[in-house]
Amino acid sequence: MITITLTDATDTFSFDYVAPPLTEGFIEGSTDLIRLDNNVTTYFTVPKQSWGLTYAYMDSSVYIRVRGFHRRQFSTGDRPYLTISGEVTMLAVQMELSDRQIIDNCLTVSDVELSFRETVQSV
Amino acid sequence: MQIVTSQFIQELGKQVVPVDWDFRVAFKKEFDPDIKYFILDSSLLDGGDLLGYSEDNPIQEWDKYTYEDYSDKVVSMEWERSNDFPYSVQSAMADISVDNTDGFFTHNPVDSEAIQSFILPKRPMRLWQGFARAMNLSQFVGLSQDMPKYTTTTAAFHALDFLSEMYNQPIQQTIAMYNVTTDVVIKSVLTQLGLLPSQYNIPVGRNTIPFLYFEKGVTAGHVLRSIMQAEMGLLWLDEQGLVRFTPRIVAGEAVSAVLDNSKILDIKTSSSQSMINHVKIISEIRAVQSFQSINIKDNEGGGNDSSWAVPVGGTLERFLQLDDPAVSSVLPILNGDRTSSWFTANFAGGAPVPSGVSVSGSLLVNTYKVTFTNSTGSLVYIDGLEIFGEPARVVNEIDKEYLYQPSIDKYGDFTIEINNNNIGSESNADSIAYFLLNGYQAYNGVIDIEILPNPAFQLSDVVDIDSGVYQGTYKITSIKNKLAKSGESLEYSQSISAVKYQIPSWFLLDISLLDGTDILAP
Repeated sequence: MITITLTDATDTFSFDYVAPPLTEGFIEGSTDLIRLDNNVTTYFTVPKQSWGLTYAYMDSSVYIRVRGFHRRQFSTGDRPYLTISGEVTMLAVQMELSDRQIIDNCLTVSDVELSFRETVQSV
Repeated sequence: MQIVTSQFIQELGKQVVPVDWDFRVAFKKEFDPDIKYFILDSSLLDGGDLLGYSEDNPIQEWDKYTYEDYSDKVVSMEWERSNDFPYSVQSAMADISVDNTDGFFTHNPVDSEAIQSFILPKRPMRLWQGFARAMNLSQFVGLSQDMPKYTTTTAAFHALDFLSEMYNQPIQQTIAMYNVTTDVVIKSVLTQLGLLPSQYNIPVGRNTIPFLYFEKGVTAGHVLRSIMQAEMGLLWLDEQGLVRFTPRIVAGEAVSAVLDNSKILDIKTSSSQSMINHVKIISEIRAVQSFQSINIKDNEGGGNDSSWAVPVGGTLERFLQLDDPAVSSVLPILNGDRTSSWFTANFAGGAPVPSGVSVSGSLLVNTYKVTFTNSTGSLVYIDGLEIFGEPARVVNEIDKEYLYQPSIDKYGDFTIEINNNNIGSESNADSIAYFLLNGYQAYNGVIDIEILPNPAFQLSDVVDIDSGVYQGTYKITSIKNKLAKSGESLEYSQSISAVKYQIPSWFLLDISLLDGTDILAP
């Protein structure tokens, strides 16, 4: 079981990710220069990590808590911190959240996509 | 080429290279004249003394501004420097775009202490770029020009190096020198602009100027361009903020780097070729003459010219235009000997004045200012005046043409006309013509190359090119760099232009073999 924890100045919330795969990405921030000898030199700045999660269904209460972290990025100017069990601890991330699609009267949400991109915290 | 560490050289050979950069601005233009390099066991840790990049980097006055670090705000930076053809007084420029989504770089005069009230034109800026595992190298030292240009998310600064600011400054004192080489004149101008000797590297020039004269008030750029043209030299501010001069002929050059297909991304003949196969040189050469008359007003005993009247107890001030500029003069003496400066005066009735008229004078190179004071008790008229000194007269007029006919037959006529009175001598004119014809009579001499970026390259570095049809040594005349974010990727590039160049092996007395391969410098 993978546990996702989001933390900011207002809230700390942990929820499980029960439907792998958890997509982990590596953002090189690079450029490849191909020389006349047909070899490649790669220049990069500071590589960053990214994660993507997809929930076929998510409880409304969970979605609302998660949505709170996403919204507070814009109201406070601060990034949330991401902890993924066994992977990363308290990493400042840019967070994206897909639109809310309520599918029943219990307000269950479907097709929720969460993405996190490593960045720096506001100063 | 800038001096670098061994780690830097290693990074140049790596296949995966982390780049790094530094962007600092002294928005408040606070200046600390006591800043010096950090000295072990002497300087205060975390104090104000600077850590030096290398022993070869002299501290510059520009280092003494209090710069703030805005490296993490940079979205893109582009910087370039180039030498004009065939001589140059050139500026470097930089364009830096920074993240301004939070309005940090938006001018706001409300709080006089906040940085935003100092977002103004002419702010000192410095750029460094290099490799994260090695070192950053200074790339640009200069001043922002206008207010930044804003988009919804960015602020963009355009900057020119400090030398371009200096070019626009007028010289404060007239420059009149004789028998000086180019470097002496350059140092004189730079000193007038307030530079210290530690801020420039000016070797001896090739051209000796018998006499040169620039009135105060002309711009420093006008003086320097004229001197550079007569020298066919190069003057620029390098990446570390050092004013550098390369005379027409240099000894001890060596290849800085080899650029082969493991370093080159693209190479082609430049569309802007620089050819010269026909040279016209026009010059009036002045030389300082022996002590002689430089101006005469001879109306002795000749009546009462009211324009030369000196009132009772008063003064008369006149400016005498000299036919030629002079480097020295002697104050005239009333009824003095005619072998040196003299003047005579008469009373209204025509009787000569024996005494009672004093004089002061000063030479203003092209003009002599004389002031008479009358203490005779009667109106007097100055009726004769002659000033002696050392004039700089035109001794030679050069009007010569030089052709390289095989090149003209092949490519057509490419003429350069040089009209410059600071050329100094006919032999210097011949040397300039030889230099130009030898260097620029062939087509296909200039190439544009995209290379794996090397922040250590500098203008006038000689590189050995080994790429297909492009073989041999070339001298770098232009360097353009870019480092920018492009989405999640990076834009990082360096383009150089270089002109075909043969490193001469000059004949050295007591060293070179007679009738050997070393050549006599023109």
